[in-house]
Order: sequence, then C-alpha cells, then structure tokens
Amino acid sequence: MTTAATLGLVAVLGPLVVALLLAVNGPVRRTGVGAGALSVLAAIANLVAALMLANSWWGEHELVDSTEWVWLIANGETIATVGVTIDGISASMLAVVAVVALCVQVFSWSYLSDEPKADFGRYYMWQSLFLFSMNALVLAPNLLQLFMAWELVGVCSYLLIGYWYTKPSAAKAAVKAFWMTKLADMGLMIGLIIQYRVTGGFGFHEADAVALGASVGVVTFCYFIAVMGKSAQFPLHIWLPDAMEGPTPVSALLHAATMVAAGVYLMVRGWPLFDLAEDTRLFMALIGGTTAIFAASVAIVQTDIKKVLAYSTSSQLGYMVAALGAGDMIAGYYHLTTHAFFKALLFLAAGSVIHAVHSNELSNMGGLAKKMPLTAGTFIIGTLALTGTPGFAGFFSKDLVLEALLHGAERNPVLWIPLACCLIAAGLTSYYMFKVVFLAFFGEPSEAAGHAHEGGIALSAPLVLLAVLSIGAGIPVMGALTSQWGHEAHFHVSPIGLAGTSAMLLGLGAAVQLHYRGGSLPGVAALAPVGNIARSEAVDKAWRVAYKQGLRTLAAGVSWFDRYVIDGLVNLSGVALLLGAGRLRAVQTGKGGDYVYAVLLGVIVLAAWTAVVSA
Amino acid sequence: MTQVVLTIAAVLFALGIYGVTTRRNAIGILLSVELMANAVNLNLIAFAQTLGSDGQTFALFSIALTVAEVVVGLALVVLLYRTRKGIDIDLASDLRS
Amino acid sequence: MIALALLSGVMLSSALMVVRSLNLVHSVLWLAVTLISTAGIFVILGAPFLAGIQLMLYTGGIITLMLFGVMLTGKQTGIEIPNTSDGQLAGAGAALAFLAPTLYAIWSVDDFGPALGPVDAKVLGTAFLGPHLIAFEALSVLLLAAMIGAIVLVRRKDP
Repeated sequence: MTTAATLGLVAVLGPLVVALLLAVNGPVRRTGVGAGALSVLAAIANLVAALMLANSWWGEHELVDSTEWVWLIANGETIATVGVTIDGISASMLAVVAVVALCVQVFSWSYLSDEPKADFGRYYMWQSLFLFSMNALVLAPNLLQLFMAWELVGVCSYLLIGYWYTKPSAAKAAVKAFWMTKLADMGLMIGLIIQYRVTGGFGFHEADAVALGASVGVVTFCYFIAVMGKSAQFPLHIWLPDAMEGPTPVSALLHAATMVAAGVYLMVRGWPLFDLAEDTRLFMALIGGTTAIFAASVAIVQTDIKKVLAYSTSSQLGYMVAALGAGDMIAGYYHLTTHAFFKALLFLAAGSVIHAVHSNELSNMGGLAKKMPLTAGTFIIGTLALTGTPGFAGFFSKDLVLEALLHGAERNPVLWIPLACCLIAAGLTSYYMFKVVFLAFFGEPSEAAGHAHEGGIALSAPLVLLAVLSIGAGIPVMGALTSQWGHEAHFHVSPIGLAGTSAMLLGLGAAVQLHYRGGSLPGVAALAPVGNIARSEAVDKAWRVAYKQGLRTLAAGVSWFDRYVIDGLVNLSGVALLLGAGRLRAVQTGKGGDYVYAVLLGVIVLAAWTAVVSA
Repeated sequence: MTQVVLTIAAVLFALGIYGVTTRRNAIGILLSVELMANAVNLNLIAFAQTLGSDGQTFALFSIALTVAEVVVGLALVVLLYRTRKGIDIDLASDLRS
Repeated sequence: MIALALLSGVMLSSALMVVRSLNLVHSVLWLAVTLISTAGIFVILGAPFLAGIQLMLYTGGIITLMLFGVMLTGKQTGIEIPNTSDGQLAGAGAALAFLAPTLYAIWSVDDFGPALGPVDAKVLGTAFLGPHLIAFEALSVLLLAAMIGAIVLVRRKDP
C-alpha cells in the first residue's frame, strides 16, 4: 500500500476504532473524560495524517492513489468497492475537516464540562463516529461509498442535534432534520440507481460522465436534489435553523463547516458529471442565488444569535451552489474551505458567548467586548471574513464566486439573476452580521451579560487558531490557487469586486447607523412588511401543510391497501389452508397397518418410477 | 444360484410384509420386521458371493443395526403396554382425527 | 443345492408360521427356527463368520423378545395378550404386489457372474478396522444411544 493510502486509512479508521470502542465499552464511555481523551487523540492523529496528505498533494490535479477493496459481488461481477481515494480535492478537504473537527472537539471539552459524565462520553462517541463518516465521505472512491457516508453523517447529525434528547424541542428538531434530509436523499439514491443502470458503476470521473451520455442531466439533477437537502438550499433549508437545538460546537462542525458542505463537496467530487449537465447547472445557479438572498433576508429578523448564523450558513452555501452552477468549480470549492474556517470560528465564538451569558438571545448580551475581549476580537475577525472585507479570506472567495457568476452571465443572460441576488445578499450579510456584533459586543450590557467572563484555554485556543486561518486562508491560498490550479485568480481591482465591497460597506453603514448610533434610516419603516414575511416562516408552514395533507394521505392509502388487500390475501390463503387441511386429516386413520400400506405404495411407486426412467 | 437365493429372500420379505400388515399386536409386528431384516441380510450376502466381501461387511453392520432397532422397539412396546394396558397397536391411534 | 433347498424350505415354512401362529410364544420360537436356517444358508453362500454372528446375536435378541412375549402374556398380569391377525386378504395382496415385480426384476437379469470363495473372518475384521473404521465407531455410538434411549423410555416416572 502506498503512503497516501495508508495515511488515508489512518484518517478514516482511527475515529472509527474509537467510536466502536466507546460504543461497545460502556464503562470507558461513562468515564466521560476518558472517552473524550480517546476521541481527541483520534482527532489529533487524523489531523496529522490529513496535514501530511494535504502538504504533499493538496494542489494535485491528477489522481494520486486510489486503494479499493471489493465489497459487493453479484454473479461473479464486482458491483461496488470501498476504499480511499487521494487527490488534490480530497486531500485538501480532509485537512479542512480535520482542523475544524479538532478545534471543535477541544472546544467542546470545556463547553460541555458541566454535563453528566455518561452524556459527555456519549457526545464524544458520536463526534468520533461523525469524524469517521465525514472522512469516509471525503475519501470515497466512488459515489456509492459517498452515499453510505452521506447517510452516516446524516445519522450523526440526527444524534448530535438530539444530544439533549430529553428536551422536546431538541428531539423534534432532530427528527425534522432527519426527515428533510432523508426526503432529499431519495434523489441521491434514485440518481445512483439510474447511473448504475446506464453505466454499470458508481464512478465520478470523466469516463463515467461520458458513459452516462444523455442521462447525465437526469442523474445530476437527482444528485442536486440531495444536495439541496444536505446543504440547506431553498426550499429544503428549513431543518437547518432548527438544528441549532444541538450544542453550539456541533452546530459549528456539522451545521456550518463540514456536514452541510458535504452537499457542495458532492458536486465538486462529481464535477465531471455536473460539468456536462448544462441544464442542471442553470437550475443550481438559480436555486443558489435564491437561497443566498432569501436566507440572508430571514437572517436579518432573527433575534437568536445561532439562528442568525444558521441562516447565514444557508445563504453562504447558496453562494457556493451558485458558483458551481455558473460553471466554476474552483470558486465554489474555495468558498467552501474559507467558509468552513470563518463560520466555524463564528459559531465557536458565539458558543463562547452563550457559555458566558447562558442564553442565545441577542437581547441578553451587549457590551461584551470589554468583558470578553478575545471572544469579541475573534468574532469580529470572523465577521470581517464572512462579510468579505478586503484582505480576509472571505473577500477572495466571495470575489471569485461573483466573478464566476459574471463570466457565466456573459454566456447566459439568465445568470444575471443569481448574480444580482448574490450582490444584494452580500449587502444584507454585512448588515445582519455587524448588527449582531454591535448588539452583542457593544452598547449597554444586559443583566446576564454583566458578569460574563472569558472561558479557559480550551475555549480560546480553537478560536485563535480559526481566526488565524480565517485571515490566512486568503492571500496565500489565493496565490497558490493561481500557481497550482492555473486558475485565473484576480488581485486587480475589478468592477465586480468593487460592487461586492460597496454592497458590504452599505450594509456596514446601515448597521452602524441603526444599531451602533441608535439612529434611524429613511425607509426602514417601509420595510416592516418584508420583515413580517421573513418572520412568518412561510416555508415551514408550507412544508407542514404538505406533510399533513400529502404524506398523511399517502400513508392512509398505503395503510388501507396493506390492511385490506395484502392482509386480505394472507387471510384468504390461511382460510384456504384450514379448509384443505380439514379434508386432508381424514387420511390419518391412526391405524398402524394403513401406514404400512402407504409406505409400501410409496416403495412400489418409486421402483416403478426408477424402472420407467432407466428404460 | 444367486437368482435362487434372491428369490427365497424376496419370498421371505413378502412374508414379512404380510406379517406387518396383518398382525395386530406390537410384538408380532416386531417379529415380522425381523423377518424382513433377515431377508435383506440374505440379499446382501448373496450379492457378496459374486461382488466381493464388502457385502458381508455391510451385512454385519445391518445385523448390529437390527439389534439396536429391536432394543428401541421393545422399549416402545413396554411403554405401550404400560400406558394402554395392552399391546394391540390399534390402542395407539391418537393420530386419528 | 439339496442343502439349500432343504434349508430354504424350513426357513420359509417357519417364517409362515411366525406370521400365522395364534400363540405369541410359538411365533417367537418359529422365528428362532427361521433365523437358524438362515444361518445355514449363510454358510452355503460362503459366509461362515456371519453365520456364527447370526446364531449368537440373533439368538440373544430372540431370547430377549421371547422373554418379553412371555412376560406380557396374561398368566402374569391377568391381561390376555391375543396374537390375532386381521385383513389377511389385503396383507396377502400387498405382499404379492411387492413380490411380483421383484421376482420379475430378479429373473430378468441374465447372469450375476461366477461365485467367489468363502470369506475369511480376517478379511472382515481388517475391513472393519481399516476402511470402515469411522462407520464402525459411529455404529458403537448408535448402539449406546439406543441403549440409553430404551432405558429412558421404559423408566418409571416415580423413582
């Protein structure tokens, strides 16, 4: 086995071993701290392996190594394999996941330190399971393994959202997330079946895309349905805000940085397929643009700091999807990586605040910059990165996304719509993020915020690391992108870059005026109806109706069919058997002699049969 | 020669069948079964005469098996006698509906 | 050939008595005659060792059978043990239905080949402990199982 494959296996199997160990070994799990230590150790090993891989191959275009084992065999033919595939994309994605995962696991140590020991151990068991699943997804050599890992991360998401399962709202949110993503995952499954029927395999390389021929559009569309669920795209995004019922570090890892990005990663992985599917990509661009602006609008009216960030995540994922839809894979993928760092940072910083004030509501914060300077500083760095302030990571990736859309719009005018959406969304993003900054960290402290204080080293170290990355994933990576991928990366001042920055500055200005100075702006009152619409959760309600009317009716029909048709057939065969048996039992006379005659008859018949056959 | 012995064995076996089907008491049936087993052994040895000694080995096994059968058969007869106060096999006709 | 005719005549007529006798003890005794004459036929067919086995083993088995037959007759328990038959016609029909095709099959074979000489007990012993060793051991286990089974079956419920 090559070094690359070995390192990949270490990354995948280390967390799995820990998860299984904690799953079967209750006493170790219930020590809490021991379980956490094992999990963190696996995360460290995973990080080392991932960094070694990324260091050697992160810019590699070609496949470095793909080690696979035969998994499913039918009729002597291999249907599917499992294994690890190392190339530039999987190596760099692995490193992103590893960094964020380790940060989150360390952060959780302190964040959840008040939990009962058994729950603490359970949390780390699921963290390890998630890390395994995510790595298996990233390193998947084919779409079938990716699908399995996709479902596994979905399960981990369900388990971790419902971590406080005694809380009804958390349990409900977990079920909702599971339902919505499963509904979308049907698309991935159907797509895989179609792809297997057409090509006889589950690959995602150029050859597979060519083999798909005309069905590439259908298949990629099916895949994109799954992406919409996993990456919280409109209108399947409704589970993501509710998922904030989970512990904040979980939101940072699963519902901001990695798991929700798995949808985008699927498209990056299957890019040869999506590249050929013009129509699917147009649909992607439109959905991405809609999500970007819709989620950003809803984020404005949220009062819960985590919900703001959740809608923001949905909005940013919309950017990535739009960029991919415009045909620029690198732009989407680059935004994915930078977003992973700064959104994880924002969530962890928010977690630090929540840990201090014991509330998610912005009204319970305020003036925290003086009490918690480190948290405030890192949150502001994250905000600057997210809003696309020049110099920070988000600026470069958002700029690339906008450029991609602009290039696309030159070819296809329809793409002006997502471009406009993304530009406006950039302004909205800037507004609601700075609003959060001003409300939480400046102004008069609330009662709860009065005695807030900074957490320990376990809380602050991940923040600092991610803050560094939120800045550092900008210029250096940008330069490397140019050299390694030959991508047109612009440092020059372009009109679209200026437009994006202006939108961001407008948003900042509005936030300063409204929430820092406490002033007012002309026309704000006129926007109140829009705010009411955004607050009304119309999409949620629509889904609820669809669920009640559609699914329940369908279920009632299926139930009727099962009760009267299927059960009826079963009962009918039972009755027939009883009647037949009643007749047949007369054969049993209970007399010994009769049985001897029967045996003799059997012997003679057999002998006659043999004679006839041999003759 | 072989044909003659086989014929004798077949007649012996037929007598066994007659006994098994007509006898009413369990020991009578057991005796008839012994007749049939004996006919089978006779066949085996008749064939061994022309085909080699393996037939005789087989006949030895068969005899030993017959002994085992007699042991269990008699145990069943005793049980029948004990539970039904008689060894007429029509006493044991619970299987009839 | 004369010896074979004599022995088979004795064997078949005593066998008929086994299935026709009205007295159970007589039936048992006629069975002993049948088995002894069969042993004689074994000697003619070149199986002297098996003839010996037949005498020793079957005689033991028959004596046991006979003892039980006597034990269960009415004299000791007061219950009459009849040794009657019924359905003679059907039984005879069944026997003939078996006999006719069997005889046809036997006599449609032209030649069974020349007779080999008598088989030494040594040959059988070697076969038992050589190629058939596993079957031999399995048989011993079977006998043990039969013995245990018989004991379990006849054991009285109250100790």
